[in-house]
Amino acid sequence: MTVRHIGLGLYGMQSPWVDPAHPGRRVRQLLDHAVMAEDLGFDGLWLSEHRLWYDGYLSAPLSAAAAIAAATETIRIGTAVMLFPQHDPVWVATTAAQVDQWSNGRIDLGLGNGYRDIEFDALGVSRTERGARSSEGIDLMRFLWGEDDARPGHRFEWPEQPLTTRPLQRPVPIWVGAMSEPPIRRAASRRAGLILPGGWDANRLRAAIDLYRTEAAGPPRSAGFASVRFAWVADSDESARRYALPRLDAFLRDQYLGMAQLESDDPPIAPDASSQATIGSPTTVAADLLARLDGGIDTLIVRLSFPYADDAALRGTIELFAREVLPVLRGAGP
Amino acid sequence: MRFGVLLTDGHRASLGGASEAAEAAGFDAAWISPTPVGNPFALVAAVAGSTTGLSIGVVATVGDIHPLHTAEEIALADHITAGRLTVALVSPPACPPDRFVEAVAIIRAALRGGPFRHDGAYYTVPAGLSEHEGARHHALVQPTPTPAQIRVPLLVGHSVDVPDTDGRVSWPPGGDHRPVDGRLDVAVVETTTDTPSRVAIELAAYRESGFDLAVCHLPGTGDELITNIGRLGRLVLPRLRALRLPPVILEAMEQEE
Repeated sequence: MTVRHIGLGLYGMQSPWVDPAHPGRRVRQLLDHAVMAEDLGFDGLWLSEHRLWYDGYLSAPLSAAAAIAAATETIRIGTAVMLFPQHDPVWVATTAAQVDQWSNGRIDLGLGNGYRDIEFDALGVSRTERGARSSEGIDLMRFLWGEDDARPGHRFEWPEQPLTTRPLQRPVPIWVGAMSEPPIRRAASRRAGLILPGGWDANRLRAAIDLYRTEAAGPPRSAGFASVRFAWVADSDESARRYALPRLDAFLRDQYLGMAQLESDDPPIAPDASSQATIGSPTTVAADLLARLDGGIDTLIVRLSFPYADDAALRGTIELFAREVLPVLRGAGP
Repeated sequence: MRFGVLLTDGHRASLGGASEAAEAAGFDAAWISPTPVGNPFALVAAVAGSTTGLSIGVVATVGDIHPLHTAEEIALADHITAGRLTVALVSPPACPPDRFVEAVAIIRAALRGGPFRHDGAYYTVPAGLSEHEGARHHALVQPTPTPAQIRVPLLVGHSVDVPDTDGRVSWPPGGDHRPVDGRLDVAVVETTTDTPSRVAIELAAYRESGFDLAVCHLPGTGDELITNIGRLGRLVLPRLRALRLPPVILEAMEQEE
């Protein structure tokens, strides 16, 4: 499969225990990295969303996307993912249209269901409705943008007037974050793109994409098949592992505890970093990511950026990746 | 009294250009209005990135989205502007006043930084829905991050009495609004630049009645707006200062016109 997009992620502007930073510094870092990623030839920069997380997790991703749009010229700006059922789809449709206009058509709208009960409960949105809210919400946005004529369902109220601001892109690339079959079917029936977990190997990725192709009437409308994967690259396998593994392990442990936050009497155990990440020399990293592309994905969102690694080291690995790995991945294909 | 300009034109290039022109022309503030529709906080970055010291105001409609979402937008915008943000919360026409008061209370509580809960006629936060098994230990919510400022100034319209806010704004523009001492009183003024002396006298009247900030809504969009902002800064602001000088100076300026 030819790779169509290699993006840099994921930016959640977190300030965890072991790597605290003022949120203003995270804003600066986000914009600096966006400019750097654009200069280095990445196709996109990807944000993520959570709320009521102890570490100041980004909860307003479309406004962060607008900030990136104001600081850059060409790089695409994505969400992987936005917690769509926790928002009003009319508001998402209008805000995304605005940001798409200002960014000159650079928005990739990745939508996920979300899973933390406390986020749904704070907003008074029942978690049990998240699938239905996602499905109807996507239909409603496409209706409001004038992409589809079909009247969406009855779950949401929408303005009778057409939106005064329409997105520049037509259609807007919508991606659905999927870790199980129902969202894959939701994406397929709407011909939205897929964003699949980075922990999946080529076989699982291929099975998910095969299911999509069986269910869908055609390929994704202006989106594709993506996977989000932690990665770290250094001069040698050994130095990459020595730096990244303990930090990524610490990050995953912190995130799984934060995710649980007393929600469960039996909190989930963080997966081992080595199973979640592609870590090594440029040759090792390129080979592993190429094997993932064999699973049928055409979009890689490389998670080179995570808290617990200091900014100089992050910049070093991002630059090395751009210099040594990007050209190899771009050369792949039939 | 300080002076600002109102920006309603939503295009990225003109927002940046207009706010840059406002700062260069000596204005103290740029305010973003919620027109035509959508999320005014998403406009903040273009203004923040084009200016360094300008105070940035956002007029935000309350109740379109959950107040927690509004608070999250405010907190991020305050960091993007490095603490230059002022927010005017306004009510949509169909919103009952007590619902507006509740929404503002939730926004204030969410921005304060500590854990809180809210039990009201319109909102219960957290909702405590029985299906949310994982939230059963959570009687409170604690939004993060907290804003950059210790207290983001929250202004409301003059027609509703809302506790724990920092001042009043005349919105929609042109309403009957009398300033109250000790609060931040903001007048949004329809302004032209055609007769600078008369505009200066008009704006001076707001100063004399005790307003702290006059936000001028100038005609035009894009380059025309930028030209008008420059004219207002060049022709009117000096005349406003001259109104405190001996009359002979103002007369000289008028002759210039």
